[in-house]
Amino acid sequence: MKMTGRLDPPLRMLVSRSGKILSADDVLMRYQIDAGGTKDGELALPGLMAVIRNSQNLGMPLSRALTIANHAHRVDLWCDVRPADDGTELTVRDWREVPHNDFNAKVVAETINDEQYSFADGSLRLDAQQRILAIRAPVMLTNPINEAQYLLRPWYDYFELDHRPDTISNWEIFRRHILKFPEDAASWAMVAEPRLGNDRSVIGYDVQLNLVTDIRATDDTVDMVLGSERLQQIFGGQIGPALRQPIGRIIANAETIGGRLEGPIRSDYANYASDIANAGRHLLALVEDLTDLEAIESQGFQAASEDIDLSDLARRAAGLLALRAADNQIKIDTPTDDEILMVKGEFRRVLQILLNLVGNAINYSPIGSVIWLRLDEGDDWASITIADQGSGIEANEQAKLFQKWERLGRSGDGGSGLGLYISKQLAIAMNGDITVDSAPGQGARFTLRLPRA
Amino acid sequence: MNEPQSRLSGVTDSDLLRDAVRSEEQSAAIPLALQSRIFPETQFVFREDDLAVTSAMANHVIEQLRSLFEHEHNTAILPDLFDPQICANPEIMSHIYARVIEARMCRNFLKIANHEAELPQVLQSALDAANAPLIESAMALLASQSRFLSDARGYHLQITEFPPEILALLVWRTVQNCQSRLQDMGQTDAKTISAIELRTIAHNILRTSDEAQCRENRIQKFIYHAVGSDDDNVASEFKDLPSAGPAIWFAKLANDTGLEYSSLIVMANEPGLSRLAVVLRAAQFDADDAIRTLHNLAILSSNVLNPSIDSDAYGKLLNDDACELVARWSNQQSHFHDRFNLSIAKAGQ
Repeated sequence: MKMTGRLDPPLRMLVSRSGKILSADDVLMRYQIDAGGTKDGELALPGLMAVIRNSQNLGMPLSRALTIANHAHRVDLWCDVRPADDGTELTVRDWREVPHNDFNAKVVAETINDEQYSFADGSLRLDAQQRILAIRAPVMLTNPINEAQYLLRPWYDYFELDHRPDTISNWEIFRRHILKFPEDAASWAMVAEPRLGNDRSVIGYDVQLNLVTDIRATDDTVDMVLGSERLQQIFGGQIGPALRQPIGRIIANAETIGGRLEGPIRSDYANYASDIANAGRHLLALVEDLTDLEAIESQGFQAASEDIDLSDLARRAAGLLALRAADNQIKIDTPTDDEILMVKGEFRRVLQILLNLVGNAINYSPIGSVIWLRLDEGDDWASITIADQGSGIEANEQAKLFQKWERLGRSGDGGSGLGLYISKQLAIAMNGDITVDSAPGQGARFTLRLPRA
Repeated sequence: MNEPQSRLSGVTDSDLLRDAVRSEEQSAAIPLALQSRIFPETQFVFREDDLAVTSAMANHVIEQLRSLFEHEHNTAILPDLFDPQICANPEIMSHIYARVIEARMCRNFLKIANHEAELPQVLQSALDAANAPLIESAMALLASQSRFLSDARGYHLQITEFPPEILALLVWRTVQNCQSRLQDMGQTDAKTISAIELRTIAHNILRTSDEAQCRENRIQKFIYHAVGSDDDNVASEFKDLPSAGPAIWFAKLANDTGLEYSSLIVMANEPGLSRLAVVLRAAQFDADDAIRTLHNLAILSSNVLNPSIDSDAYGKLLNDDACELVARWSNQQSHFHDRFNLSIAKAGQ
């Protein structure tokens, strides 16, 4: 039955701050599923998502008209969006559902695994002939967009598509193509909605572009990352070494005072000294990170390609971090002494990566838990997975994990937001990669993959 | 050496002179600052009355912000913390400036209206329709429009009617401005509010705001119900400026072209109205309608239509070329808005 007019009771939906549906009335859920989303996945209706994100960013309730659609109907609706403690509440009080005949109803939207997608970050506006009227380029593009290149060109001519259809029908735009901007490595998934004119005909389309996050970094993205000269100019080759010595002295003296090695002092003063030592260690780690960052971002950075034993390195990393783990009663389950897995890489750099991954696992594991280090191999690759029992990472946050300075909202735990970025770049420099697999409440599994020796 | 004795109690001559000079410099700089902020790379000449009214409205906006913050704080906050710099932002100034022009156009509406009634025909038709949501939205818009015009006559502009994005920008700029003024004050006893209290107040103001009070939102809601109604009279009157009135006509044009409501209103004040001519071409107005509409717009904004814009010139303008130009303007707006929204989000964190 056609649903139109003021709704009593209104339709409701609750969306988490990360964009996942927490609850929704059946009618809204039907459109979510039809758009290729899942019941508890990220909201797949771009118009709704845009107004929700806007409300979250502003911290304000909003009241807007927008259009959603599936293969059978277009809906003009008026919704109220309000930030709440556990997410964002959406209420739809006016709903105008109109069947449309200009799409091929036999074609069903392809369902995709929404964990592949992060929050979106570009958009297109097309006219009725699917020509580009406006483009909001994602900020992470390597090259700036040249307006003359795209205006009024059909989108399927401008982008590189995962597969080029023989004919472009109206429905083609709803197929969630994976596309790339010219001369750029990142892949984007498209989610489209029609725009409607006075006479309710389709006058164009709004397309949202979502970064496909499981694409392995290619040479182009590495060049993009390594191309920055800013940090080199700021930090320079001399500042790091010059900072290490005084910071080391601060740490040593603070530990001497905190450990009461020079005689008794009041316990609160000893605690202050420990705080100073901790802050000093944080500064020293930051200097080390910046030094590494400078190295990997310099043009021509290369890692050595030696035959090394991944199993041995895993045991060494676990040994180096055993005390820290013991402080939190955490057990590290390492490969056994008789396991050998030879890979191509630089000994020092692989150890550095493992120390970072295992160190992170210790930081985010509950007291008394276990961290597993597991080896695996294929025809031409070998890998080690570091699995913890921590709180896990949401899918949209996983996309940001390997970005520079990314702290995922954490602060005060001594991290600089550079560790995983540096580790990933080091892995890439050794022709490998680091990936993450996690879900809230189910811990995290970081896998370092390298070429077999 | 003895200081010269002040002729005014509690104020030295040097303080007074300094204040007077600063006040004179600031007043003199307002028109230039306004010009450079709204049209940074043009030699656009402003009407003196527009500048004066924009400035008066900006001051009224600052005064409301002070009242709002004091109401949330339950005590008086130093008035010095709320200075005109809060409004010195292109988005905010453009919004206020567009309202000044819009008020003038609404006041001039009877010069082009199809009939002598005070209401635009499209609103009259909506009130006569047998459609409850449409009537409700028309009544809400009437109230809002009437308040806007009444306020504008007194050089006032209600910030409760600002679009949420502009209100958020205004509130966070107020917080930043007050914070920096508080830092300048250092450890003096004159502090009346802390930085944390300021941010808490800002969050409260924004959280309890209501976009449904916003006039532009009410126009959109009216259009939503009117377009969805089965009343063809209402829908057909949208493209006709004398029937729709400037507010509804511009809002509908904004929906059709992707350009912003305020941008389109500012275009009506540009010399010659050539940009609006391109927009009408992109929106597929036929030549006669477009020229008639442009003449009406010139009357509303007390402007002069470029004499070279006639039916022939308009007819030679290709729709594709017009669409491309309009798409570029719309694109520039969306780029600007991305940065703008990002800065609001960062300020609120």
